[in-house]
Amino acid sequence: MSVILSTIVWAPLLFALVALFLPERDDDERARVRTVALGGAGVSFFVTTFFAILGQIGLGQGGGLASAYQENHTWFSNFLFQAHYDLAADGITLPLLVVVTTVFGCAMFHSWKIHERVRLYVILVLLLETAVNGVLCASDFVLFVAFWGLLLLPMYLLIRVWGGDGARRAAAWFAGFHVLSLVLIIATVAIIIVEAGARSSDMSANLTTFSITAETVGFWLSFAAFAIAMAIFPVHTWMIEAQAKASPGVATILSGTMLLLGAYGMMRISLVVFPVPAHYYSFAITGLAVVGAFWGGIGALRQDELRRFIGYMNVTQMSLVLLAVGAQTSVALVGAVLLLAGQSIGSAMLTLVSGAVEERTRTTSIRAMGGLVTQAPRLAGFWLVAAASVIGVPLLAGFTGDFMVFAGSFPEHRIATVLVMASVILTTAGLLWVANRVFFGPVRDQFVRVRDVTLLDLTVLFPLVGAAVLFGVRAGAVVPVIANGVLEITTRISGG
Amino acid sequence: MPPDFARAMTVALLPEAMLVGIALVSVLVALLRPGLRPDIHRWIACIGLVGSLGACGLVLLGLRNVRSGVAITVWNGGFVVDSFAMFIAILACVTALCTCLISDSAVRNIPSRSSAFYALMLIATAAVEALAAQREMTTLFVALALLLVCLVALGALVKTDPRGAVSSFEHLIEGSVGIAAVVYGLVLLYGTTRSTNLDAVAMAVGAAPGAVALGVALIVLGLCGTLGVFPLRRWVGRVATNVPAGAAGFIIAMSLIAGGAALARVTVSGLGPNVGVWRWLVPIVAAVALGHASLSSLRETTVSRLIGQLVSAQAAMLLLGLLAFANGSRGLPAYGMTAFLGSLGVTAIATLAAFGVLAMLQVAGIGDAIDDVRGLAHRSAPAALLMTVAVGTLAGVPPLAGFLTRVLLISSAADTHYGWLAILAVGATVLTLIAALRFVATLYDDAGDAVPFTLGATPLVSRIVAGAACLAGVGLVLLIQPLLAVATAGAGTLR
Amino acid sequence: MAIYNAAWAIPLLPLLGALGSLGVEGQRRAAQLCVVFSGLSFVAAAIVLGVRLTHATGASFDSLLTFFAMTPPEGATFATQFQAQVGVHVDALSTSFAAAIAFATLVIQSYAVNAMRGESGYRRFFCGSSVLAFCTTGFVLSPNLFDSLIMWVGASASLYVLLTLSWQRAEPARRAMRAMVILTAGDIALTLGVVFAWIKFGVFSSLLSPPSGQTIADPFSFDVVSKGVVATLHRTVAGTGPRAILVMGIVFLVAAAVRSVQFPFTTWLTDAASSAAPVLALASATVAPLGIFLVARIYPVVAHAPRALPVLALVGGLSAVLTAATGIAQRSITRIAACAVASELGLGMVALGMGGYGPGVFIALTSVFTSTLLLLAVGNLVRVYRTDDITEMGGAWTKLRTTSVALGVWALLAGGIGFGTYYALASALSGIDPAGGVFSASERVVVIIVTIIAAVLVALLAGRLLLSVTTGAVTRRRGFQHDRIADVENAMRRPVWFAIAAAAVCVLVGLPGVEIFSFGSGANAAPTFMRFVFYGLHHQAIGIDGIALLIALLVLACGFGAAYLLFNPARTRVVIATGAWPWRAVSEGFYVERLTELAAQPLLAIAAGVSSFDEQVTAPIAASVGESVDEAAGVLGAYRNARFARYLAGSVVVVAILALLSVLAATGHLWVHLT
Repeated sequence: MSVILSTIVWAPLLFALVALFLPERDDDERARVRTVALGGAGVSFFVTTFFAILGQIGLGQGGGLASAYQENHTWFSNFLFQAHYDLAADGITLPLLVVVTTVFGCAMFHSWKIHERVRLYVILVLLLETAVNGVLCASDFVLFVAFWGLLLLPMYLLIRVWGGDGARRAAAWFAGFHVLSLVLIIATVAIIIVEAGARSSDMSANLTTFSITAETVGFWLSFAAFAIAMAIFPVHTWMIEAQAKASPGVATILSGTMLLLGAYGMMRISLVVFPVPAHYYSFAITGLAVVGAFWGGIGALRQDELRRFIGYMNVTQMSLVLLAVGAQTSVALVGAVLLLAGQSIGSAMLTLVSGAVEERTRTTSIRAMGGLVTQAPRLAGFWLVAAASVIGVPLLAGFTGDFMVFAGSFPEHRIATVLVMASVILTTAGLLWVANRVFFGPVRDQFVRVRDVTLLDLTVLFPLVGAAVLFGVRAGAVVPVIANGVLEITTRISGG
Repeated sequence: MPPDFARAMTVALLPEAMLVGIALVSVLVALLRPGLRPDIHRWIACIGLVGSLGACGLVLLGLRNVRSGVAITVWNGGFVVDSFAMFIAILACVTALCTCLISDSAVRNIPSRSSAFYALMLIATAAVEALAAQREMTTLFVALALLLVCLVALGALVKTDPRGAVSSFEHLIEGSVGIAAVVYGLVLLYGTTRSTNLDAVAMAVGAAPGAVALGVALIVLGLCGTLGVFPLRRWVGRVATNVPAGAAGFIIAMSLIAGGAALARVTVSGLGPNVGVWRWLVPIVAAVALGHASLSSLRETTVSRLIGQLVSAQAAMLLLGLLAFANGSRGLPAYGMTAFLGSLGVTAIATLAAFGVLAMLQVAGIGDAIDDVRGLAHRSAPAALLMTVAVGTLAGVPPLAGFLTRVLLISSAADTHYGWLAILAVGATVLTLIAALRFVATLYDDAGDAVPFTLGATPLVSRIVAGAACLAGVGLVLLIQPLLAVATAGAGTLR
Repeated sequence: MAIYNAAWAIPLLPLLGALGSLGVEGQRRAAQLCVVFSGLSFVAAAIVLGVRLTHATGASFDSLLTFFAMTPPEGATFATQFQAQVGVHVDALSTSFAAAIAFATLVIQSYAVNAMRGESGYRRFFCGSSVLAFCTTGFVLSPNLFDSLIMWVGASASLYVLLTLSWQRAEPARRAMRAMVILTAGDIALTLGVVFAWIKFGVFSSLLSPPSGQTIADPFSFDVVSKGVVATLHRTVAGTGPRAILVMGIVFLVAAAVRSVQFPFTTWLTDAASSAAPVLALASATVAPLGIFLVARIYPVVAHAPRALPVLALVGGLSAVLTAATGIAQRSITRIAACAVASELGLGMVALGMGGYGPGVFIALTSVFTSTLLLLAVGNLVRVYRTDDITEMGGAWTKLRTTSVALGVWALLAGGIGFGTYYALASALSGIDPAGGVFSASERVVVIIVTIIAAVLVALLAGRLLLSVTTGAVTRRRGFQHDRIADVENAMRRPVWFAIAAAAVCVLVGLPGVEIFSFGSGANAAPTFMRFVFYGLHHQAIGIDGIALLIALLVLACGFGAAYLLFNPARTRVVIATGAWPWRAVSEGFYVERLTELAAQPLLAIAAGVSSFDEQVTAPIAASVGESVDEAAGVLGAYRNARFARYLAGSVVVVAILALLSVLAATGHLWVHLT
């Protein structure tokens, strides 16, 4: 019996329990707390990467496994439905797990910049990591819902307690929307169990006994739930608010892992369980994607707050993913997963860099900044690399995803695809514009004392750069794995 | 066969007898040797409860190979000892036992009256056990009255200031209104059907539908008062605020268990599906109660009242399970009763846990207002953690046990065509969730200049038990399977 | 042939140089490293070119790596195997361009070793330029559209790095951003084209038999695309018709037009003109020609897209006219150079559009060398005169001999000796439609007229540049010792000589219809360019077109004559009404830049609308979700402070009602029937 996935999911929690009993009276003890927490993140990171490499061998198109690792124990059986403690990592999950654990590792390093209430901070972050990994691994509806709910409290507290002024409001918004999505998911699950007559809450069960009404309702419920979590067009405000008001580390986790979960759920539940309405309403999904892409791209141009700008960039990226979800072709979905990886890495980098800039310039206003490049060229370099990854420059994480999404969506929705492609110009313009405003130009005398990246910054940023390059250059190693995972979705959609 | 009958009676009444006996013993001891250390009485009470548990175990032993799950039926079906009764009895005993161990703070101020305290506690427990076993109007009424008296007396006994007395008085009035309603309902039923036995009532329901309807409605509403849900739920908040937490937890939890058991007996196993009234009345009550409790939980400014509201909301949630006793959507047995009993257990434990933590805070001299616990996390991290878990469990914060039970209740309600109620329940859950979130957030806010403190003032045993009760909120998530197994067995004899 | 694997080294060596330069102490050492690796890359390119020349008739050579591969289940929509490959493709076209670009990179870098000294971002320049070399050479050697796309986009990105060299100055950074945005538009167009081609020909490619040594027929490869086009014309490709080919062709042409600076998209190069001379040299010599190269690569699509070619020719011609006119009206020498490059490429488009595949490609190839030559000379001039205002220069012939010679050679080549004009006209005159038949007379006449005008303007531009820089005397300005100026040091003159030589050789190779020399047995085609690079199965036998040659020489004469009349500082000029609006329009580059600026305004206005919408509408929605619960709780506000007495009264009332009910029940006035 393999316990790999359990390790990945629960290791952070265990280390959190250890950290719970460590004192934090002086700096040494705080450092110890951070180190323990880093250990927790590290364990799940290394286990993930190691077994992702192994699993890739199994999942590659030669291997033909459905999922690399599976753990299935009965949770409770003597009820209306059976629930299982069912963790599985298939081709979609594995790459995302790698990305998520990487981001959390960086966030843990970043916790060295937190100086008050360190223990609580790291415990909450570890709790969050458990929840995120759990959502990615869960293969049982009740388990999925439980992990999804576990996201709520830690994130809420992280935003509220460590955020700047206005963080309370942002936290309240996050809580409201997340609870809403939670409720919608529960409603979906109830429909699945009651209407489809599922005797067990197993996600991979093929539900064929839907009435079309129930199926449609269920689809829209789940779609709404995950659209909220993805922060796509009409419901993106909470994410932008949180992104702007939370502390940089928390914002990194938010845009690096939480948005990804929404898209993941949309592929895993909205598409797999409700294939018929998903296909029938694909035009609506695509329309949302188009609007969102332009909305984010254009809205970003007007922002003055650095991280608000990044929030809008996230909206654009997520709209690209949504386009793929609307297209529902295997190529597009594979591209979407790659794109998610790229978006997480790129957006996390952007957030971290902007956090570093804010702590150096003591302002969040883009207009107030400028000419930092003379003092901090490396920081500018990191920004440009992240921007390149988001724009989709070849041999970085974004490119292959972008290309496959476009290639896969084009035959299904031509106009929409072309429009969304056009929005990439806006993204480029926005990112370079910010680079100009913040970094380039003559040095300003209030910033002459600004220091370039410290060792800590490098420690936080380099893993992400590495991941970006890795996903960009070795896309060939990842694509077959994802394709294997996507196969399930496409077969459901094609009525298999 | 008289000897068998005699033995049957003994076995049937052994748990109750045990409790009552020990209660008398404790009182006697107090009379003979006044000024004895309160601990003595506590340990006596513990012995009684353990004994009662043992007796239950004995009965379960007898039940082991009885397929029907019904051990003994005496007074031609008026008093049944079956797995349901055993479930409730054990739950009640465990609750009382925990209270014994954490009630230190409650009796600390009244050493002279501690024997009375524990005696009342034991008798209340006995009353609950009887209530769970009855299937007959007289027993129902007697047990209810006994329980009410005991609980009110308990509240009045441990009062530390006049408000305590006032709140007990309110409790008495409200409870008696409830009992009055029940009694009038029973009278109507009796008048209609000439029988005090609920089965007979169910048989003869056709006689006078109007009267029966009225009677059933009155009974249900009255029992809602015992359960602590709308319309008769003011006492919950008052007791929570004014009675020392150690005792308040017991009063509320016990009343909850009793109300649940009585409702299940009367509606599901007594009246059954033939009497349609309660099947549309209960959902309405549940809906109103849910909305009311969860909305008002958002406005609370004191910790104790907040907990009270959350308990009340959870109790209203229980009614959903009550509805889903008939067959489900696709011929499956509806698992409403399983969910009902499981959640009843979780709720009782969680209530105890919340009040236990509150008691620890009171001992440590922390005020009751929510502003007093602002930034608790800095002043005492364990207290904040325990409070978070306890409140989270009550409010159904995922993925704690409370959340899981709510999912079970809602899904079983949705499965028996009470979809609208399920939706409403989900909405109510959202409200309680948000209330809990806001409360928990204040725990982790900035403490300002408040000084740190420890829970050391509370005796170790109390701390351990309260902590264990809190962690049950987490542990029961993993151990939900055995809990549901027991609950299924318990529910077996109701369907 | 195994030796062709050396082609891998052409793009990879500069990349190695760039990576290595990151680790080297001292920026000058890093620069030298990059130059060395570029040199090696040029050597490799020369070897491959030599081998190819001696085996001109041999089959083209492919060496491929799989970038990623998957098998889409939707076989009816996509290719059965979605396989993206990168690698090298060795044929006449790729080898000749690879050699040219590698040479240009080498010369410019070795020039910059000294020219960039003291400039900001010295190290970044060499790192970036080497990466750029990787992308450009990789692009010309790419075996399929996917690889082309990667290199194309990479070229844009590395060009952006080069354009932001002096990032402490706000203006260049802003212009770099603008250039990058325009280039991105071109990249998107190419992406769209690639996707479109793949969707159209993917399924078709699955039916083809894979070439030797490969598992499938790569749907991205140029070979499959051309086969697909032909098959489409025979109606044997499902879901594809002439219209699809036309759309595809247009998309590709837009991409090409952006990259090789055709008219509306000229701003990116004129923006680049404000950065350092070597950067501009790289941009115009190694990046701009790639547009024409792309057209040559996907020539079958363009050729068979209905009416695409004449349009292309017309666009190219007009663009040449406009950019040349713009150049004439400029004072900044760098901008003049940029305009000259653009107009020369325009002539190349004309040739391609009029069915002259070889001629068009040849013009592009020449432009690689001539642009290098021109920009190096311009760099020297700007360096020596410490200004880029052409009116403040003069008397270079006496002071800067080498630079003047270089400028003269360039002027002659650009003015017509370089056969640009000749080939454009020759193709237009013969007007052979590669899709079969000839172009209609009207099309040809229009194109010819436009071409002649363009040629005259280009010659005029060249002559003006030459005259106003070399002749006359050095103008006197404050703080500028005009008598002290001397030619740049030797290390910066040498690359110029190399450039001159290379340009001369290139032109000689392009001599029409002549066979310079022949290898031993006649088996090998003599390496005149037209015999080496051609479209279709056999090279087009283009003999000397007397009329075209005559016109070209006339044009040259006219242009230089006009230049002599208008711009010779030695004699009194014919006054030009510089105030008149046409002149202003021209000197403004027909307001393209201003229009691009204006185009941003409505966008920003919409952005304001969007953000205000978010603040006014979506944010309140979020607030209502996040905060409304408290308001909902307010409903109970009144209820909460109910009094105890009221409460007691209420319960009493309840009891009373119950009592009444019970009395009624007992006395039988309720529905109870006591029997």
